[in-house]
Amino acid sequence: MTIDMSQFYQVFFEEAEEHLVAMESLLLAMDIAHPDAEDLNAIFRAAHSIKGSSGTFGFNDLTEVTHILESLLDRLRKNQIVLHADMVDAFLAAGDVLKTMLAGHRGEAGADPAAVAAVCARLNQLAASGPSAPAARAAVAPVVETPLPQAVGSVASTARRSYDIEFVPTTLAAEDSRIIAALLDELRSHGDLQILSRPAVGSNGPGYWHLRLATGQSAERLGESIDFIAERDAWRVEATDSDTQDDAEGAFGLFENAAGLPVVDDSFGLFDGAPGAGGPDVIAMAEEGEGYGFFMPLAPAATPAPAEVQAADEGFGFFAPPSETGAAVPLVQSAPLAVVGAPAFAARRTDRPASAAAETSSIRVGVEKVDQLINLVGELVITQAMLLQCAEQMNGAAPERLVQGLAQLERNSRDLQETVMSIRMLPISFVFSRFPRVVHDLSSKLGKQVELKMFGESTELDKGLIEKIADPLTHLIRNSLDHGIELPEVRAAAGKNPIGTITLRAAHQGGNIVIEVGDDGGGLSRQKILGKARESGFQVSDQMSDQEVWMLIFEAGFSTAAVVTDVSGRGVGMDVVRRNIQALGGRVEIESITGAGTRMTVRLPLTLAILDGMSIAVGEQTYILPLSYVIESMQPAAQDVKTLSNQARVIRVRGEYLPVIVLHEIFNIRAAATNFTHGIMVVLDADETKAALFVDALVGQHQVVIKSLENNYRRVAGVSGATIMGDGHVALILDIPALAAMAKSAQMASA
Amino acid sequence: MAKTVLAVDDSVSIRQMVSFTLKSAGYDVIEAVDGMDGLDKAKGKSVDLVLTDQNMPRMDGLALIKSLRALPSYKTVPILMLTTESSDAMKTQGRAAGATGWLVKPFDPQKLIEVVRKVIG
Repeated sequence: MTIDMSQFYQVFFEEAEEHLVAMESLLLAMDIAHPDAEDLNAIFRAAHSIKGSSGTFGFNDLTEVTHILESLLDRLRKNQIVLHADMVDAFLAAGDVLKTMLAGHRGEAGADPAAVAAVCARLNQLAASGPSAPAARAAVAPVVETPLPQAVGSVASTARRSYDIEFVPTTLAAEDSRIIAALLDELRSHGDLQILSRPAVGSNGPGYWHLRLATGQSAERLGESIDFIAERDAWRVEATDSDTQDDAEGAFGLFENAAGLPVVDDSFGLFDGAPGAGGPDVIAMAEEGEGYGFFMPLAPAATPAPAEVQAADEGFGFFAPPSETGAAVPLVQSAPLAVVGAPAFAARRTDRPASAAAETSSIRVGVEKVDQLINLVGELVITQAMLLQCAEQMNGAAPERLVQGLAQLERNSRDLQETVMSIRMLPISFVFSRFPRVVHDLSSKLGKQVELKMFGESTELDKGLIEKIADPLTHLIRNSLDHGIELPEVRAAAGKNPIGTITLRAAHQGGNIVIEVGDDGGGLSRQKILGKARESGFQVSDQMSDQEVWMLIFEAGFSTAAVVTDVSGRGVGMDVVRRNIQALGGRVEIESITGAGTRMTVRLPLTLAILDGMSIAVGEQTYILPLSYVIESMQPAAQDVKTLSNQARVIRVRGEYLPVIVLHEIFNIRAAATNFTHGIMVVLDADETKAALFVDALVGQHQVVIKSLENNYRRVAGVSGATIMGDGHVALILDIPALAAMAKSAQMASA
Repeated sequence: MAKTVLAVDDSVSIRQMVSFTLKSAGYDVIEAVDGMDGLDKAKGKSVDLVLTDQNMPRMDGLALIKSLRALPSYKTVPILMLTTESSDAMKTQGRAAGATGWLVKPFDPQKLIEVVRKVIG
């Protein structure tokens, strides 16, 4: 019976990714001068874990890299070598390469062989240059799974010698010819390879290989490659011209004949006399002569093998009885919960964001299922609203219990809806977690010293928002790093701490999530911005408030950067940021104090599917306005409404003239009120523009479930979606920013 | 009645693989995510065989084995270490802790079934 391993791949990919994320986060937070022992252990375990599982599922490219990584980390955690900054960078680079390898196996763009080779070279170099490492060796790229490139960068640092290489491959390696082929390719890249003996085609069992390689590589390095694909302790690398033990690597296996020789299988063993080993079942099975055909190994001359007794028929790798009495006594600890090898796990570092660990009970659910659920609940809310309206229209004729029942149903539906919406809520740490790396890399690139502080990482927001908010936030942070925080010398000269601080903060406020990106840099310069704006032909005046001046930086093409770096300065970033945030139904504000710093505040609705809306009537139609845009409403006085030369209308509200959006004209509806004094003006703040919407009447305020018009019909200008009202009618949701912009440009055109 | 195996490993993918493999071979499988969880689960239900990884958070394999051996009900239950190497050091420590034997990672499903059969039938 063969087990299909591919069913476990997805879990492996996710698990490996979690380990890589944990590794990166620990590395970034590491205090290089005084590394925390437990953190080093955790990083080691992450690499070790990836190595183990990638090997089990056959992703040998990952196994190769994590093997080198793990041995370095092992030496670090045992204090055999000292940690320094470029080691951390090498580890980070290794993590990146592993991520790309994983992506490759998932079907996305895979690892760049040159990058893999470079990382391995770096790690090998670090391994070789540690204080307790052997003399420096040439760094060599290991074999990459697919495609199979030539090993890059092998440099003969020592004189060439001839080595005998003998091994019995593991069953896995024997079955997959690519693995041996890759090994042979790798050996060929090291020097001149001769195959003296190989398993006969069609032979059973893994077979025996005998190679000879003339190379400048060390036996140890060759041994690592062979060890990987050979049965445990069933390989040997020895210089042919030497009889000193130093040149021999690996346990020696005796191979008299070539093909099909079964060999010592040290991959499994039982300690003779150990509890559970001597049970009747075991002996019975052994006596049935199932013998694996384990043969006595020939121990390498210098190193004494553990006293392994292998009976010809039943030997599995039983240990010889430890003492003359022949009874093995298991160690009984008086303190059964002693943890071996690790310090006590007191509660530590509570400011770490909660990871999706094994502590909480959870299940994985496909996103489509959740979306389906949300949709159905939305329908439920609509149906319930319809029923309620029916009952209300019966004007007291409805039975009391029916009305009460429906009211109860409304409460139940709302609760259900809130709970279901919360399923899609994830902590913003999912986005924030990438920023330490961004800040780390960018600040070293720019030569600035920056500390990143994050607050409110557990604040939750809708999964869909999380994915879309990452890019804009990244841009804001890069902007702060590039233009906000000054170079250390400049800061010091200004009496500031040479290490700048970027602060990320997230919190809930009403039905919104508020995210702040702040820095203690140089702040925005009013003169510079106004100057640049004039240069670029924008309409500005010295009377503009600070807020209005700051908002200019969101205009397309605007940048006061003296030098365009590849980070920012091209002036295409900030306007895209604002547009992206608005597309999510949010807004962004800026505060700044020259010399002290800048703070950008992003406000987003908590979910994309439900809206707090104000319903308004124009003629027979009902429309919905997102409540977040509404400032106030009023019945206008005739003298406040003026018509401009091109028929655009404006209304004076508290001293300023706002463009009027005359909905019935835009949408061509027969309105009840055409005279402005007979209707209502709703004053709106659409982020960049203020405007007034003229309607017949205000109907009410409700929470509506947003349905996509685009999916069900097509995109319509001025409309951002639709919903089904309680009476079953469809109401269109107005796209306020678009309407306001339309009205504003009409106003400007005639100015 | 089917024999029960307790599989202790902090890697989800390995646990799933072991669990699926052994279940298809007719065993019942209980999973634990680390040494402490393994100890809890072992106390909760007696099992016929324990497979345990070494490097795990909270309590590693060797500590688990020692703790299990201290329990009256686990004095003779077979415990196999899942190790990444078959070094002398591993064997010495494992034996001293009271392990019954070892199985080297990575292993394939066939090998796993073979070994488990060999030990508990």
